[in-house]
Amino acid sequence: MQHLADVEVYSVRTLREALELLSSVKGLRVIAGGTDLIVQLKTGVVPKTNLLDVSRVDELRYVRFEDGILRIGALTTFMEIYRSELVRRHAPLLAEAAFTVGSFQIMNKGTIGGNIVNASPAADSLPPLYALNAELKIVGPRGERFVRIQDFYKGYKKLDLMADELVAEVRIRPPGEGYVGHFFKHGLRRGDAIAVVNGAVLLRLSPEGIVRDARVALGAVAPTVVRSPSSERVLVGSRLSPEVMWRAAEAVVNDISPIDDVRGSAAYRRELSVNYVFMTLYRIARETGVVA
Amino acid sequence: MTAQRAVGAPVARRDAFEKAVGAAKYASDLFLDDMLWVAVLRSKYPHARIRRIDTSKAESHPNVVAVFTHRDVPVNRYGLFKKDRPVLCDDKVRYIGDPIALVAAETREDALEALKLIEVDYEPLPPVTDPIEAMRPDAPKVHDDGNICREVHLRLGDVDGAFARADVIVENTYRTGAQIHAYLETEAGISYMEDGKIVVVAGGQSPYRDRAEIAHALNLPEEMIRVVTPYVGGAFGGKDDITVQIHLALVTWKTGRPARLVWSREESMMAGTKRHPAIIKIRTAATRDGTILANKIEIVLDKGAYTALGPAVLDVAVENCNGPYRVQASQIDAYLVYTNNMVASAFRGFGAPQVIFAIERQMDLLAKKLGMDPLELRLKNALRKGDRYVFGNVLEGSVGIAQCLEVARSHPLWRSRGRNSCEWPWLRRGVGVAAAMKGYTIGALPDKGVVALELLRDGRVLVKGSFTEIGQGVIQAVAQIAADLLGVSVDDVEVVFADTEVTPDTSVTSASRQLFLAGNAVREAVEALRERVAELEGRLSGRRPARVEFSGGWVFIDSERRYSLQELARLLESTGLGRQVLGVYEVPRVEPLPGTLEIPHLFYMFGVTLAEVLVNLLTGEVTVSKVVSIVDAGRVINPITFTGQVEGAVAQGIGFALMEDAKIRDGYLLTRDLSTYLIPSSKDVPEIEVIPVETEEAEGPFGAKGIGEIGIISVAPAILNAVADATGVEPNAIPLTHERLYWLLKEHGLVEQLRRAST
Repeated sequence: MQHLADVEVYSVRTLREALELLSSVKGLRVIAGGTDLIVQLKTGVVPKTNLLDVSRVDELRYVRFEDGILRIGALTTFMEIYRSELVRRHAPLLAEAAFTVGSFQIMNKGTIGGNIVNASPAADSLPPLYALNAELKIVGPRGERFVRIQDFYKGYKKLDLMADELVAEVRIRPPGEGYVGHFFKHGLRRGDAIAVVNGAVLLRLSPEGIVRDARVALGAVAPTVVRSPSSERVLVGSRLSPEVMWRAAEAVVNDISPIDDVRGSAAYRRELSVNYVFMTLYRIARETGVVA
Repeated sequence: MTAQRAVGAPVARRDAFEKAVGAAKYASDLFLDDMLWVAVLRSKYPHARIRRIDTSKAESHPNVVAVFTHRDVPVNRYGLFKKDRPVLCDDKVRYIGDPIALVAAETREDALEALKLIEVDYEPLPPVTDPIEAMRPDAPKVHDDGNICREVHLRLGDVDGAFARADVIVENTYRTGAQIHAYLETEAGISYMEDGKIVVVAGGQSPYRDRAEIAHALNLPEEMIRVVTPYVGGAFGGKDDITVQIHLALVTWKTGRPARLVWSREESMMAGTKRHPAIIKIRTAATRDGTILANKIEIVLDKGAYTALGPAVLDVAVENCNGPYRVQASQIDAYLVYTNNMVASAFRGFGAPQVIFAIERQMDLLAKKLGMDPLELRLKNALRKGDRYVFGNVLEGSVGIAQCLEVARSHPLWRSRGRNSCEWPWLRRGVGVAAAMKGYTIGALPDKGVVALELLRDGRVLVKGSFTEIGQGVIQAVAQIAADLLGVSVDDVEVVFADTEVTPDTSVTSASRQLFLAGNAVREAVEALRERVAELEGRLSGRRPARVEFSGGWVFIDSERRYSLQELARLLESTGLGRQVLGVYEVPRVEPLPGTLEIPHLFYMFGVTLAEVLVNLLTGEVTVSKVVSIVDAGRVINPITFTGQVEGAVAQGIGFALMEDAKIRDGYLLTRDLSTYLIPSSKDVPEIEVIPVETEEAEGPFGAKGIGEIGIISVAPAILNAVADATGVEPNAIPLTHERLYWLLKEHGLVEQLRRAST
């Protein structure tokens, strides 16, 4: 256990102040809810450094729907996301995921921006963002830029983010009519557990039950969250029969590379990935009346 | 006959409010002026020789006041059954939490920093971490005198004859894991000097025994040490042994300064004791009609590095391994084996959850082989009061197992067994039953408890005892008993507990017997007070009264005269007889069976658990959706605390059965925090229905018997029996984690079968 008594904390109220400090003070690490970072600092997983506390930058805490785009400020907590009518309407997958990130205390502290930047492959908010083709607004001294969530991660905990930049907003274009999907998560207990495998499946079904679009995202089974093009290919153009569901589920093993850790073996993660994609497809099929 | 008002009433606990608002003080809440922060350097290796310890750099750290090693400990071995545990390691380290040095510094940060400056030159030795391997003669030795700490071999009745005439024989091997107590409050305490005495205020289960251990290690008379046990944030047996006490006393004794030592969660997980992992082999002989003839049972308990309370745990395992059944013959071979794993010792159930898991799975497997209903098989063999148990002892105390099984049989949950339609094709529902027994009190070992009863000048009553309030509610229950015996309101009974300076020795708060012990001692104290009133009356009137009765705040003498308790207090004081009496209760016992320490007990607890589960064939996840806990509770003193105790035990049993998986590899603990070592959360604990079967324990206070441990004992086998009912797969090892069950389901073709059925 490292002690943190001598860490300097710069506390700011505006985005402008935050960006100024990031540019002028070297080696600052940004802290929002701190639900991951504090633990990592204490255990020494992250080297001890001075902190920029952005938790009170209220201008980054919002959920808005403008110009057909759902916009979520980076400092919006998971409790706010879970309770947001806008999120439930336009990105229900993300609301489902927000409810599973941890206890109410964690949901009240943890922010979506923090979850994204912490870049755990098991982060619960990420599979929905991958399935929804979300985009990140990144701000810095050179202005703002937009990055697709898939492109933001360059490898295990490697981000397309400069030291003087901040993730400011998550943007989601609602997929539109006919889309139905679910988030899933396997933890080793029902309450407050880190995912052994998580994921999201989002489909667009024709009235005849033919899959027109398929998005399958999986977490905790590769250095970053991944989409499964193999599975998506099986699904698109097919009727959602149990046989197709199993084939699509099994195809995910082509796109994942799980490892053994204290929570589960690679082999078990592979089985879970397949079985959860099947269960989620089955659930969607039943909800849409494709199977009884 | 005394009027009963408080006993049996759902009175709110006196500590409830202050605990709910956070005002109650636990040891870890205490800070003193000028206090030193203590930190412990712990072994890096599970097994190593210590060549050299260099503390010079740590000592020269600016804010470090002192660094201690084994050289500073007068008598460097402690332990309750065998003094084999070093206060600070000298020759060797034997597990990864073994303490090597203490740093006392001005701040916690300084203490932790200085730990890193201590240089230990280790010579790593090959560790032995599997108890079966450790029993081989060529295994690395944890202690010089070999790895078998203790063994018990019993031949009871005609075992060979029973097997020769058996119609069916069932044999299986069962395994249970190293459960960690995971209490809300880790091991914690403070210490200081007062009037030339060392005062240690720490979480524990027996202030007098802790005092004896401190005195022995520091080679000081016990009178120089005072131990106070404030409210404890959970113990469950994990604070039965010494934790922080000797280290704190050493620092304060050597420096003269107050000190504080609170283990981090990681430290608690490593250096705290565990439930003994067990390997249990059972061979059962039975007749076609389901009469159990005999069991051959082999038990191996993984002791870890030091003896602690292991010998008694082994005895409890031996005593209960045949379950609550009329078994005529049994052959038992039991081994307590040292390894370089973390130390195992007391944990709620104390050896019984392991063996009851085994015998109760065995009962279901026997029922399956016989084609019998598992509950009927249990009922057919259930013990009754007056039966001679397998050790030759006659069960003279209350035996409520058959009543518990009958309640289970008619419960709607049991009657719904077999109605298994589920929402999703991959889910399977099952219902399981399991019975439990365990002796309470410490059996054939001598055991005595003393309480003091003081009549206060205002007519209220003060009860003093060294029982510890570890969350179980003993102080309220003791007050309820005293209130009814003295005919006063429960609010007029004050209780002072667990301070060697002011409370007499009420022995250890363990073995589900503190209420039995303290309650009976209170009864004795009331008798002593009655005697004293008679003496007083003899002095005042020249005639000893025939009857002295307490009722409604008065004492009635031969229905001629009465005094208010206030008046009585004044008279006792002015006559010099004194307002305080002692009650001494010696627990009845018999001599131990040769080769054992504490077998048999005179008093046993019984219970039955019903569990409903949903098993997900595609993940191995078991959801416990309902638990019914039926407890032979004797007379219930306080229904609220009773229910709370049993609900807590069920939750802990769910963890033991399904998720509490201390992953230990080559002696290293991989699950060192509560994000990797998972205990059930509120979402994992279902509705629990607690049903007391109120038998009468004639020896108990108001007919009460022990209830602290019984609720956990049959939870794991009930859940696994339910999993077997749901899936047809027979899992015989716990914790049954998702992954373990998944592979078992897959191996038995259930995953493939589901797939074929759905396509």
